[in-house]
Amino acid sequence: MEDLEKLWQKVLSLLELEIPKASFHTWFKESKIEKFQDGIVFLRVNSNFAKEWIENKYQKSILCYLKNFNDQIKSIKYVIKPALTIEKEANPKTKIKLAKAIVNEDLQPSLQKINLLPKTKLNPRYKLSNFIVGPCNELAYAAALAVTEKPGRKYNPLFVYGRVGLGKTHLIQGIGNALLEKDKSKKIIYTTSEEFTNEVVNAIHYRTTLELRKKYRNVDLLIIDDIQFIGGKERTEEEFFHTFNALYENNKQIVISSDKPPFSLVGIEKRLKSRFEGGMIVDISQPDFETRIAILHQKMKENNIFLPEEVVEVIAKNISDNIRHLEGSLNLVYNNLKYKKIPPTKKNIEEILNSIFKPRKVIKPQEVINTICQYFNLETSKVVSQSRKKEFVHARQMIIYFLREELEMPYLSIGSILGNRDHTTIMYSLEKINKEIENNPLLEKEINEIKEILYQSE
Amino acid sequence: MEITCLKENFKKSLNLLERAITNKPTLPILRNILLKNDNGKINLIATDLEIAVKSWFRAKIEGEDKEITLPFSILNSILFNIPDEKINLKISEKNMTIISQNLKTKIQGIPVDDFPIIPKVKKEKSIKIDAQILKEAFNSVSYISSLSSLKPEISGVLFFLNKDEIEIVSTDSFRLGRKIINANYFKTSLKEEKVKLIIPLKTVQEYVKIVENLNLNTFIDFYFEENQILFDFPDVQLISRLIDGNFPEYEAVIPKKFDAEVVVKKDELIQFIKLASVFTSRTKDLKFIIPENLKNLEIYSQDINLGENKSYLEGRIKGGKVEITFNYQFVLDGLKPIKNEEVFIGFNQNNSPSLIKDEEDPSYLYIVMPLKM
Repeated sequence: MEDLEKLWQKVLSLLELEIPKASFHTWFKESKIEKFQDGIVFLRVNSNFAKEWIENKYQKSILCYLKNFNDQIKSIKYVIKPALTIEKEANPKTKIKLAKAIVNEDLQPSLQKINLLPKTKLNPRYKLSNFIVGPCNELAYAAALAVTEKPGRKYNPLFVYGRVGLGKTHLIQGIGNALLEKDKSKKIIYTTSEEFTNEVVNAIHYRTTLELRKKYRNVDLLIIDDIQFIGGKERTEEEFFHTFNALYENNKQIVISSDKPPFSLVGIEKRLKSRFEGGMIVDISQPDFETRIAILHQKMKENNIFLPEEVVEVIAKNISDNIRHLEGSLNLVYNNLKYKKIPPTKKNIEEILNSIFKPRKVIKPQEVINTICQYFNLETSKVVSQSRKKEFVHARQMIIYFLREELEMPYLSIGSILGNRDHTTIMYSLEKINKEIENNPLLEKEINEIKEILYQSE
Repeated sequence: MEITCLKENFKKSLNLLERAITNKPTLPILRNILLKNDNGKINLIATDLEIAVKSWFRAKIEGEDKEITLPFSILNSILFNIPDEKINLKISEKNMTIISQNLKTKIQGIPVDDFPIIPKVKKEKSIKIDAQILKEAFNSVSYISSLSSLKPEISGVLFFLNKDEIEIVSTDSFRLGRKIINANYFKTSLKEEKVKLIIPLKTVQEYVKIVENLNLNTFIDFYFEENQILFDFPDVQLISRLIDGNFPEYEAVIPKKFDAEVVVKKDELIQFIKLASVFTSRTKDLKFIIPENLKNLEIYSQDINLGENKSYLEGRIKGGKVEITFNYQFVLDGLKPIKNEEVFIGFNQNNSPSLIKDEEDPSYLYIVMPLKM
């Protein structure tokens, strides 16, 4: 099988040279040699259109190339299989799916897919064993390990903080999973502060506070994610405060995560903050280059994909702030290389990465003026002049709109660019055009078209 | 090649291609349509590589045959704005010139070499069917199909020839609609007794638009192979791929027993549902209650902030006490295709599906799952 794949890649690389890029992508996307039998190559293509096209235009050259590599090949047959077909084996399940999946997917859309343990709400994918340790999170990891060894005794509470996408949730859920692995009978609750808030609100509404207290005060380990959202919600905070005390007094472990250290949390009462500070506070910072590489390797192993080392390095070099981005980029690059058959050079990969994470182009005021004048086919000098002809006024208003809404320039500087106009004139124009946008759909279309030109032009 | 024709004919023919043109094609030439002489008629072709539409119109054709592809949007706006009834077209490989009494327009084209070749569909397997009836059947259920690419097998409409009837089925796995076309409305010489085709939603929508456009009231033929289908209308053809996959075995899901059965007036029901929907939350949950005394069907909605509503509907009720919550939009959708005055609803509790059908016309049925509250 591998040989067929290689053979086809060789043919593709030759074909790519003689076919325009767009049509190469259209017709040969997802193409593949399915099998080779009795001198016939079974070529899989993605649609009937592709079959007709390849058969009529490229049959001869493909056959010629194939023969060069393997002289036993006599002819080509086509198999049509679009990329997105569910394999036939899936069939017996579909029946059950209809009956089961039909229940209410729209109320809990994402929960169905991730396999959550029923009571603890822990995601089994997050384990301490697959948490990548580097200088950025060494301390946090060590503290987590200590907690799993002696829950409730060593570091209580354990307070983990760090920016988004650095692995807080992974670490704290990992503690839960590790503890559960050791002792199945342990009662563990993982919740986010938002969920907790909702439960408190419901409890107040349905008068079931007692049950809520019973639920939270009888656990061996309570893990609360994103505690910062509790700020300012008095009843929730109070409920949490008492829960905290009850657990603490009984030597039950509490693990908390947040995006800031306790002392800089906003809207949380002092008595609660000081309790957070009573245990162990650890931070998770941005992973360094080596850690990022290790993370990428781990992700590739989990997802069963493979990329050459140079590619991994380019990704790690380019994406540094967020592990979720890192994972996303990995998938993106992998799929691009696989399906679009792009050679894995440094430049190509950076291009792929840029296509998603590229900051929006910075635009200069003069560009806006030129683009809009060109769009309306008017002379720049006249648009900026004092003329009150309708067409000029309209273009001028558009320019003002863009300078203000897109470039966020101050009124005064907009006025001075547009022929030293007063800032009140600018404000008036803006108000007028904003009103017009609401009433005139054509104007919106114009604005969108101009936007497209502005952000596209290199 | 020189063509003389009525502008209206050209325009009509061109309009039929509109939805086979994509705005952002992978190949630039897909913005264009192909124009050629086909046995004394002018043939226009457009495709987005998912579907292809061909149309023909009458014209006087002189000179050596030429083929050209022209940008659809430009051609369309020009034809829309030309005042004359009769126009002359001069066609070379590179451009087309439109000449009428007082104007001359030249449109740059792209040579036909790069235009996709439209796959041929063998005319071995065919079914003759009443175009209008098929359209109505499509309209009754196709809106249910989900466009999610995760489950390609339900992203289309099932066309199921089952001995002497045809079932048209759609589902999004929360609900399912089925409309049966009986033997009076189709003929076939197929050897197979059972044929299952999953037609992409876009193709179904295109079919409906073409039938509406042509105002067809006759039978049409369609042909199919393993993975493609061709609808043969008078002077128009629609060609499309078929979805490869197995449609869920829905027969087992259709409930036969019910916790409670209700027959009510359709219009009243719709009105009360709409009324109650004012107080539903984002999940669109609406409660249907049959009290122990089986007197009325009650519809209840409540929103803590907005208020509540309870309406009572008279009808013939059998069975026992029932309390179920539905997404009200799903219920309204299911009621829409029903033409007669009375509807039958079979309620089932405990997360099993309920059934809605026309009390008098058994050809249509609709299954919907309750919301788990």
